[in-house]
Amino acid sequence: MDKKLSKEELLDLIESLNPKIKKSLKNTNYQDRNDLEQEIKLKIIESYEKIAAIEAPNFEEFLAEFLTKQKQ
Amino acid sequence: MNQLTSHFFSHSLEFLQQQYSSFFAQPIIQLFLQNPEHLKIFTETLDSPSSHNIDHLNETFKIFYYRAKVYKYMCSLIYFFSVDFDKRARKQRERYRMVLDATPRDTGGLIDRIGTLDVQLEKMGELNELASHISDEEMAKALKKLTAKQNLVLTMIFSYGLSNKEIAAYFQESPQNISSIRKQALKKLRKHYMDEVYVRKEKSHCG
Repeated sequence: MDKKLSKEELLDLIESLNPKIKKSLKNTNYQDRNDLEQEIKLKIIESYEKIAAIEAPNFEEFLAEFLTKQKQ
Repeated sequence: MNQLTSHFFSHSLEFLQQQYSSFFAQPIIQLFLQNPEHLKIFTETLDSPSSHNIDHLNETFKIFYYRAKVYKYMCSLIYFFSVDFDKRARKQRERYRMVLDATPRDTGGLIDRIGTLDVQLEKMGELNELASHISDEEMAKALKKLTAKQNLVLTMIFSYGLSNKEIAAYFQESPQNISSIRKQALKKLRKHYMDEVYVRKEKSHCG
């Protein structure tokens, strides 16, 4: 199983985040909203490399970090 | 590191939840275990902590955590980008105002126009009335039902993109009042639409 996000999955994710995007459009004028929507989606796609480079710990690493923190 | 975690896996779920309550209180763990499939993997690993099971749990958790991080990343990106975008657009508008009737030599032109905004506002209702943008018959009817002030406020908001604050300054009222006028007006429009258009449509469907 590939843990990194494929480009298709990214598009799906953007689709599922659509309500969030729509909500954020309220931060700007009526006239600029369509521009903003497009630019947000573009920005997300542009940052694909960054998103793919996000590192996540596995369960043991996460647990070990928690346990060592607790000991201190 | 492995000792630490293998000790953890040698207990039962109930014991762990008592012993490490703050571990299970973490949102990421809670969300992870909310999924029945994940919970099953977790309990299976506790029942028989073989390296295969642990690996499976590790991998599942990693994917889950990665997804959560991506999601969070994108949500913040969307929010901060939209705020930033608005800032940039505002700046742009401030710096490059659209001046249509100034000749290049007319340097005094800009300063002359400052303070004449109110005059333009006076004409607003006539020049760019909302009704002139609307092709829908029912909507035009609904707009006629509004009071003159409601109409003007809506025009200012939607045709000119003024903020509540700016409109309030024009009427010398509070922004809250403008907000409520706008709300009332929209409610009226919606009600007209609901009463007239949808009811009729429903009727025609039934008949």
